[in-house]
Amino acid sequence: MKLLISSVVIALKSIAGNKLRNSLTVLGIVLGVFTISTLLSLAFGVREEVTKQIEDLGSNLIAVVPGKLNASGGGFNPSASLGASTLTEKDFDSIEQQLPEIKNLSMAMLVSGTVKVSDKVSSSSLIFAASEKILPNLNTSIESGRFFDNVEIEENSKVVVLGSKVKEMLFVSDNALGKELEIRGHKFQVIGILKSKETSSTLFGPNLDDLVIMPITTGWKITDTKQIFRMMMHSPTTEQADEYKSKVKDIILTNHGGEEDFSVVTQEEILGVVGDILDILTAMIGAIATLSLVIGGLGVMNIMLVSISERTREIGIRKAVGANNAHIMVQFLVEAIVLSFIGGLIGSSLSGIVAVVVSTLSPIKLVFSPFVVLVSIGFSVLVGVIFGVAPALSAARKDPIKAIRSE
Amino acid sequence: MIDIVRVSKEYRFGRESFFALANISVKIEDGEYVAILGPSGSGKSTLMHLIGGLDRPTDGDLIVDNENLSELNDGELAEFRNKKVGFIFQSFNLIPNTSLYDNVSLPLVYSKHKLPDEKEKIRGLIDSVGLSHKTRNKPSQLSGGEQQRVAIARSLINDPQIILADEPTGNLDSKNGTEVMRILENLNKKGKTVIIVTHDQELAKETDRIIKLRDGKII
Repeated sequence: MKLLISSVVIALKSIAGNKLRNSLTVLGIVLGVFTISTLLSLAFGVREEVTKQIEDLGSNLIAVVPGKLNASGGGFNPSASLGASTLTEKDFDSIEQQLPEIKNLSMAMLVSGTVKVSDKVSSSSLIFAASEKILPNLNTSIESGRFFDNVEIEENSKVVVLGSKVKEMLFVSDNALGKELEIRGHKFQVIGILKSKETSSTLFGPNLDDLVIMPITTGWKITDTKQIFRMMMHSPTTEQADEYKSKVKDIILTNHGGEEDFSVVTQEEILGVVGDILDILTAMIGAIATLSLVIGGLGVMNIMLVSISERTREIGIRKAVGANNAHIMVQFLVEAIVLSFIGGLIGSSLSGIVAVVVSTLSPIKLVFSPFVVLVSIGFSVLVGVIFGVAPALSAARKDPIKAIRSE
Repeated sequence: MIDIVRVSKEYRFGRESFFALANISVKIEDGEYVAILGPSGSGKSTLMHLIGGLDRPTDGDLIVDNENLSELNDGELAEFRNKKVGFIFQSFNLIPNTSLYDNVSLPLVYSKHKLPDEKEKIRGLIDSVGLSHKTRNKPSQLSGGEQQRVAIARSLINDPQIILADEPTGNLDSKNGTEVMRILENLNKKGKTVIIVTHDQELAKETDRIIKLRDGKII
């Protein structure tokens, strides 16, 4: 303990004795730690944002998608949902009849194509055909006008509801309600505009402002295919999500003659998948940032070697009065660790300030948690140990007589 | 007691080899005041390094205080230097940028056992070499004579039986040199074994016994 305290004191003295040189070395670590903790804060910020968006949809959301997402050998197979759907209107009706307590039961299909108003064309919009209760499942609602009703669905009415961005693109600031537009050669009447979701450009779902929604029956008619690419609903309560997931699965399984050519997923499972993807992202960012810290570590190693060669005589004196190799080793290792620890402290403080500033001034949220601080400073200490060992060993192995005679 | 039995120290440079000490035997009793006298290259410094446990002989036995130094490992040798001997060098060898107080207490950093009255002992030693008014001074703020007195205080902190002084007055003017010799003589009177390594015949004459070395042999 006495040795450790005295090593820290010696280290601080030696660092203070060469302020410029050591400041430059510390700067290398500062930059490395700053990069690590800022990127980590960013990764955590993205994770929080995405998680929040998914949770906004309601944790009792249940979705039925075509194809078996869980590959038989274990693992996740998203391409399974891309083929022609095996879900039918009968599946929808069966759920409606057997589980009347389920909320917002709806179905949807994708209609590819462009949306035209005279000479203006919106090609980036996502054309959806859906049943009347789709909106709560997308976590959005009507801003002006109205959504289509049951009658319009039954009559294959050519009406559409537009996302705010599509509306702006095709009609600019004019009132779009009652106006006509063209999709795949058919004239449609605009009956409603969706609320703008502004920032919530969902990373893992359609941008709701780009949506064009028509009745599902109309979609079936103009494409001449009776596809259902997704069914969505909410279980009566959050706790019952899993219970209803298996009920829904059993109903469709019966309809499909026991063949599991579809998947029923809950919000929680989607969160799990997204979490896995974000974990990989975080790890990658961490690896890149670590590289910059390694470069800082090389700086520490360099300065330690210089410092040791300048203090060879001191090492000799210490050995003459009774220091053994381990004592000398600890002294210089502590010095390397103190150097990088100071860098880590400054780097993560700077990163904390940047996180606060960026989060206040921009929509990007940086989450600067104690975990981030711990990881960053932990890494800097680790760098001190790794890059300090070799110089410390060379110091410890010096021959006392040669060392004491050196100038 | 220091018992040097047929000790040799050989240095090899490729195929060439050179004996700094050639088959030396000598005994120094506890409480003796001895000078090891010889010109440069005679092996006197090598002998001092061997007695002080800074180096190992190529051949022979070095028994100091009933311990055969040839049989100690590096860690045990470091502990021996810490406890059993005190070094005084021609160029003082204090640690720069470190206070007088911390320089004197340096060996305690490497001692396994804490002294009960550490602070008083350090202050007492600084006082005994007449520097209690400069406790916080750095070596660069001290004169040569003062620095050597600090080195003497440092050598005594663990109360070793043997004091090894390598040309202790070599870098001092005659007044300070005399002062340092007076302190060493007093230490001897208090029972310490004091060994002075020098090329200076006059200085050697102040001790009780002179061991003359030439070309690695006692003459």
